[in-house]
Amino acid sequence: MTGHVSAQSLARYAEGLLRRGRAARVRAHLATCPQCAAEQARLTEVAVVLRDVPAAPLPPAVAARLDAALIAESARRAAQPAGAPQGNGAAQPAGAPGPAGAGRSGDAGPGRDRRPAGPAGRWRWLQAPAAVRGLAAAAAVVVLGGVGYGIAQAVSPTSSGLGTSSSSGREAKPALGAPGAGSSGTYGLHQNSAVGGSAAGITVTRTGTHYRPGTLGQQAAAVLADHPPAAQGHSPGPAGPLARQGSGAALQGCVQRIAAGRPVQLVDEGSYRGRRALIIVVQDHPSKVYVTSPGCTAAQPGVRAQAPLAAAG
Amino acid sequence: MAGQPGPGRPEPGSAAPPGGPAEPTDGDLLRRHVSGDAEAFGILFVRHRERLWAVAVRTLGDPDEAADALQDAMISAFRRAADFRGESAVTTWLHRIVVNACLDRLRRRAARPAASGMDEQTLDVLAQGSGLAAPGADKDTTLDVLAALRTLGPEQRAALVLVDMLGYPVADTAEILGISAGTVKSRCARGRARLLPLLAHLRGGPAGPPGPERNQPAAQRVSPPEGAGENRA
Repeated sequence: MTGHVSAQSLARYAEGLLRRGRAARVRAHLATCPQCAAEQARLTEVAVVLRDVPAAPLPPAVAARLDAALIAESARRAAQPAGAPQGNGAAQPAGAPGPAGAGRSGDAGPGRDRRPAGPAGRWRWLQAPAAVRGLAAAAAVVVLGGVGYGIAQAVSPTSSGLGTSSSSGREAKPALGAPGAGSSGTYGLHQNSAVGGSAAGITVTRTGTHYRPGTLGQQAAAVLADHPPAAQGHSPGPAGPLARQGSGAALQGCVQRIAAGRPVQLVDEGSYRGRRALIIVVQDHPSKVYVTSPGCTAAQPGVRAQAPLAAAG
Repeated sequence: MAGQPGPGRPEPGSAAPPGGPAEPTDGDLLRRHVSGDAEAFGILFVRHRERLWAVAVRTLGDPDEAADALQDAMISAFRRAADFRGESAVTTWLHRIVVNACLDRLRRRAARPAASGMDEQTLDVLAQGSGLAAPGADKDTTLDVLAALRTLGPEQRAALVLVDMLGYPVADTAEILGISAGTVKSRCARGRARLLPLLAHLRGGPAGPPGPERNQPAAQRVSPPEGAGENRA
């Protein structure tokens, strides 16, 4: 053997990947060359350094997001007609790698967004109906009939930090219904009554407020102060643009789903992180602010963020 | 548990948790899910998500992207459960889906050079904040390792994460990645050689074998590591 052994060869030698003759020459060289022996020792230490990178546990915010996404997915499946295929057919052929699959070479085109649609492309609620999208952000008030559709889930006041800090391409980052990272595995969707129950009456205001992650709780509190639940009045039935355009039922299901049995104090249409959003305040201890999209449904509540309601001002 | 050298092994065959014989196996849960049980998949996923998170966050080096990947993978597994044929352990199958979701993202990232680099400040936030470094960890070392890992291609990186960082046996890694054991070893060897000049100054690393302080908080309950590490390459 002439000269020293390359790091690549040393690494392959250590893995037993070299052919017998070559391995014997490397072994002989190592026995006589302190420089290469030291290099080999350093190579071993690379694995040690990698091994010793400390573990970071699953952040609670991510755990909450996963929980919420799973609840939404369970609800979606439950809402499917019996016998319907579980996969979502056209969007993801059975057996294909799917959104998580490797080898979708066509995906990597240069024009792709930083966060391509991925599975988010399947979330129908992302594409809010044009009718909803086109609604003027005036002070229209819509009253929706209530439904009794809840989730028996404790809701933790997860911060909106990690779970919602992504760029705008993806909204499917709910942060609702968090058993918490330390909770047990029992878990699931509980519908406690059929859709279409009580007439709780949900009022949608449209302040067009530009809600922001850092001030979500304060902003919602301020809007709530201007639009207290008692002052909004309750119409006897669905009315207003949303209901007339047929989106009311979906929206009320979404709101009730998120409220999960708790009183709804405010449903406000505005924007969040630059995207149209529905801000929902539910009474709790403390009250919670949820951000979802105007096209949300019970099956896809799509909570983008949540925060505790803060003191106004 | 993920993060320790060795454990976190997706045990082939049985996936019975240690809680006792009454606990349903992973296979039971997956079957229940496929047959319509609304809770089974949640139980299954909660059982393994800590380890899967460890895989995703190391492979991607970005907690936000790791969360996206893990969520994508979870939904994918939820929907594709009926495709699971039992040819591998459920955990292996779950790992494969997660790793593929991560590789997808790494490849997309590679196709977007402008977005591929993470600046020092971002890395700093990552190491300090949630997601990557355990509290009290040697931040500089973690940062250096993360930065070095980012220089590797997705395939080398995934192999090194599973084998060296998480201590998965080569055979299990091969199954997760869908490649031969020899290819796993080859990718690891090449990856280590490429990392050598980048990490040489870190040799020695944190002293001694990792102790319990490197472990997850006690509140985190996932199925326990079983006899992993003995097959470390």
